[in-house]
Order: sequence, then C-alpha cells, then structure tokens
Amino acid sequence: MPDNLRTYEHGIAMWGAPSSGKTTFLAALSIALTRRGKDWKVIGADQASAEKLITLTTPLTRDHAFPPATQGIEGFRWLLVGEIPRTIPKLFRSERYMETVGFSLDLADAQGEMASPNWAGLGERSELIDRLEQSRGIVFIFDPIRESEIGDTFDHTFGVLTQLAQRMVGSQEFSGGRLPHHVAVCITKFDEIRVFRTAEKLNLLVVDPADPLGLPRVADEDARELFSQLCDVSRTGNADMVLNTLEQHFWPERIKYFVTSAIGFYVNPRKGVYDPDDIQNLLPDTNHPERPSIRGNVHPINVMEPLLWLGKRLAGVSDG
Amino acid sequence: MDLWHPATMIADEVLTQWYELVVLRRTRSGRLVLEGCQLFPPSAQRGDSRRLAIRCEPSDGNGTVFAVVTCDPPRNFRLFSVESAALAPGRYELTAELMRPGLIRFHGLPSELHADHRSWQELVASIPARIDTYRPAHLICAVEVSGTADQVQERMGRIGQLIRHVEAGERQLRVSLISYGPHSFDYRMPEESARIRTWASAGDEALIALDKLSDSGAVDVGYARAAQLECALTKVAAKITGRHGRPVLVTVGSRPPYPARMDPASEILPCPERNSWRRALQHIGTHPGVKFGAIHDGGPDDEDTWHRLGSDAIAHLKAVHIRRFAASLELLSLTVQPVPFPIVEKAGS
Repeated sequence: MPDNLRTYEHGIAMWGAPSSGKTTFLAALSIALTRRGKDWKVIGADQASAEKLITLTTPLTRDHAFPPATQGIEGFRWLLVGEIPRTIPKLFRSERYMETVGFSLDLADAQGEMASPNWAGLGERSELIDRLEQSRGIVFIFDPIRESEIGDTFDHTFGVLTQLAQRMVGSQEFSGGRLPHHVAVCITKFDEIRVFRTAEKLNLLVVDPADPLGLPRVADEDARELFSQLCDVSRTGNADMVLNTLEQHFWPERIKYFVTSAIGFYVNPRKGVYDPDDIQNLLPDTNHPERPSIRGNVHPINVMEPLLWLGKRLAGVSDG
Repeated sequence: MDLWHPATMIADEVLTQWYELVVLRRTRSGRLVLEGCQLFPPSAQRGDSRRLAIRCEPSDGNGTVFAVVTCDPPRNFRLFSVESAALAPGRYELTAELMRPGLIRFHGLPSELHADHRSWQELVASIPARIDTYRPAHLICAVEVSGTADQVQERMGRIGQLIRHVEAGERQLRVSLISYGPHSFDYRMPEESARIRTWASAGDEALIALDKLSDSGAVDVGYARAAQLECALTKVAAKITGRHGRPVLVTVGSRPPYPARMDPASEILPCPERNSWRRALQHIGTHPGVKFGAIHDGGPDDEDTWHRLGSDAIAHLKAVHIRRFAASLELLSLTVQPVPFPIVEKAGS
C-alpha cells in the first residue's frame, strides 16, 4: 500500500436482490480495471480479501464460468486505489498535482435474501444496514431480468431503506430528510437480449468510437430512461416504486444511473469485433440452468465507471 | 457285369421339358403381365440350380404363389406345381434347385412353402390389372443424434423402418443419410458438424450406414437448446441435384434449428456459420416433385418449425404409421393391393 495513500472513513457498499449479479459484478470490476490499464486498481485490504479477489476473478478469465454466489456477508475489504487531480490555490497561479487516494470498497456482497422483508436472519440484515450506514457510496444493483421474472426488487429495497433512514434520522447528515449517500444505480445484464433489445428499441444504443471492439453501450444520461422503461415489464408491477423510493430517500443529484454488464457481449475471437447478429455471451446449460457459463471472453461494460464515479464523489471531486 | 440300378438311372436322367416359374412383369405403365421365367432347360440335370431375384408385393392371406409350369415346344404349358409362402413385401434372392426331374426345391425364402389348393383360374383372377408405379425417388433422411440414447435409437429405428418399407415397394429408390447434433459454443468442447453419412446409395447400403451411425450412440454434450438442422439442410441444399430421383426430405429429430442470427423470441444462439434453415428449405423446395416429411418429438414451442419441415407428412416419434407416412410422401400406396405372384423386374420394363 503506498505510504502517501489517503484513505477515507466511509466506503462503498454493494446492495441488491439475490442473484442480481453482485458477485459477478465484483469479479468483473477487477478485470475492467485491469483492461483500463492505468490510473485505478483494486487491491485486497487484507489477505482474505486479496485471496477472494483472485477466486472471484479467475473463473471469469480462465474457466469462462461465473464465480460462486457468496453466502452471507463475508466483509471483504478491498481498496479502490487511484489518482485524482487536486489543485492548491496560489496567489498568481494554482498548483495542480495528483493525489493517490484509496476508498474502502467494503463491498459487503450481502446475500440478497438478507434484504428481503421475509429474511429470518435479522442479525445479518442488521449487519447489512450497518454497512450501508457506514458507507457513503452505494452500488445499487437492479437486475431487470429477475424483476421481469420475479419482481421482488421493491420488496428488497423498501424495508432496508426505511430501516436505514430510521437509523440515520438523528444524524446531522440526514438534514433535508434524505440520506447522505451517493448512489450508483446499476441496471445490470445489459448483455441479455431482452435488456439489449429494449435499449435498441428506445434508440439508446451508442458506440464509443474509441472502443476497438465496437461494443454498444447506453449513455449514462439515458440510463434512467431505460430503467423506467424496464419497470414496465416488472412481474409484479412494483419496479416503478423502486425508482421513486430511491429518489425519495436520496438526493437526486447524488444518484447516477448506469447500464452495465459484467460479462459484456460476445466477441468472436476470429473476427475480433462485436457482431450485432450474435451478441449473447451467456451460455445456458439446460441440464443445469443454475450454472450457466460464459461463451467467450469477458468484456465488462460500465462496471468500473460506477465505482470511479462514487470514489470521486466521495473524494469531493465533481463530475466535470 | 452291368447291373441295372434304378438310382443311377434317375440320376442320369435329363429333362425333356422346360421348367418355368410363373411370375408377373410390370410394364412402364404399371400393368401386370403374367409370364414364365425360365428355371431349367430340357438339358438340365439333377443338382442344377438357378438363381433369380424376385420382389414380392403384399399378398392375401394365402401368401405369395410359387407356381411352376412345364413347357413343351413350341409353347405348350402345363401347370406342374403350386405352392405358396407368407412373405413380407420385399426383394428376395431365390434359388431353384432341380432335385430330380419332377422335383424342384426353392431356397432363400424366409418362410416354408406349402401346398396351395386354389384353382388356377382363381389365382389368375386375383391378379390386379396394374399396380401403382412411382417415379424414382431420392429419400434424404436427416437424423438428429443429440438427446438421450433411447431417443436417438428410436429415431434410427424409424428411419430404418421407413427405408425398408419404401424399398420394398419402390423400384428405383436412392437413399441419403445425414446426421446432425448440437453446436458447441464452449471453446473447450469441439463439436461434430452435420455430416453426410451416405449419399444417393441403394437402400441396403443406407441401412448399413444407419447401423454404423446407430452404433456411434447419442451426442449428449454441447448447447442443448437446438440442433444443427440448419447446417444439415444447407448441406442437402448444396448437394441435391434431382438426378437421383424426386427428392423426399425426411427430418427426424427433436430440437429446433439454430437461427441464422440473434433471435429475441427464442434467445437461441445463432448458428456459427450463419446458415438459415428457412433459406435451405426454400432452396430444396424448388426441386420438382419434392416432398417434406418430419418425425419429431419436439416440444410445443417448436411445433411451427416441425410443421414446416413436415409440410407433406408429419408424425410424432412415438406414434408413426410408417406406411401412411410414406404414402403421404408418395413413396408408397396407402391401399394394399395383394399381388399373388412374385414380380421379376427386367431391364427396360
């Protein structure tokens, strides 16, 4: 760990319904940062977390397999380490320098049931709320596929937020009746056909000209609209209340939406470019539906961006 | 001293008449003509034999009649013997052996011959004026080898049944066999492509190829939501010419084909070769007289696909009336026309 590393008291917590892709998201984060090749990286804050990082990442890269779901809050402590620009005002000319910062990625990969109102392990749920209270950045995972099939995101959201608000109501930071966190709402599984096609129909797909693979993305400015549209296919019809609940409990300017995919789209290794006629990177196993695999290489989309955004916001760096 | 010995005398005795088997010949128009097929000439001796290929059509309850006539010059026929045997329709290699003058034995039939007591007039009257004739056909069987071992065996069994049935009735039949399984989208698992096992072969060769394929067993690896039907059809479309006869494509399988491109409805991964089963089917459909049959055990989601593949004849794997199925493809006649005598086919007939 660098000697001049400045670490922050409050970290980032990850939160979402069961099977919403949190574990894979975490695993893909390391890959995405490695692909980026500079600036930022994830390191384990302790031996267990470093080992966990390896065991999460290796299946994705080596075996084309998803990492196993994490059981219970294991309290991995990772650090998102990077450099952010700082300015020292001087009399005639400001001095600019890069500061090495570390944000605790206290990514409590809470097993989703803990957020459910039916969860019997109240102690562990309380632990999840402890972690959310301790954090000032939240990665909120919204799985539109699960929502269309089960539709329980609201159930997993409302109870936790209500308890978190109740816990923090006496805090100075609760002024204005809203929680102080920055929230990166990640609409996951962009690589799934139904999500992709919805974005396509809404004409929200863009391609970064600098991306050599030409993978499609949804611009962050349009991500909320996609979320809103995907709420229409919620199995229970409650997904729109997720949006409202988040925007009621947090300051709207502290919420940012991202359309993400941990595994990305399939890129044929022979052609080396994205093919819109053959996008699926998820390889289902009909004999073991609970154990799909990954067809090609992993190309995470918008996985590191939410964390970098949270990191910068927690460090007081504005979007601009 | 020369001794007179009756056995020696009979053994040395030669025939003085022609012996002929009564057979039918089918003319080009399908008319049946009664005629004699020479077995032994007047010079034949005990122990002589004669081989001939015959084809038996379905018979009535009395069986197929093997009647031998003698013939004195110039053409004076006398009924010599009338026997019959219950035989399945099909081709037989018959061997007639002259045991002695006045006794001929037939070998090569799976059933025993027994005396037939019907009168000659009765037998002749039971000959239909004609039997249906079919244009030469090229039966192309595409069989899916993915699934359980039982499923695959059952599919092979159905194809075997079909070939045997059609071969028994179809004079000029060529058979092709193509197998297909799943694509593998897993880089660790190599896939076996759709493969032509035999092309425009005789029925018995195709049955041998089918046996070999059957011995290879089922393919239970790979992406299980579809099978390379699109690749199999593309190969057929590229190879088919029509010169082997009117094409009859019979697909036997369960899974749907892979789409040519991303399919939001089924979410089945697209064919890596981007083959389109619809395009291939359309191409095959341009051949004059082509017929499409399908025997499937697919799920309800794939009904539409199988109905297109079996637009002329469709059946479920578990319940196939093979004769009716073949009749819908104009490979056989649905109505059974009993034909009392064996048929000998002659070149140019």
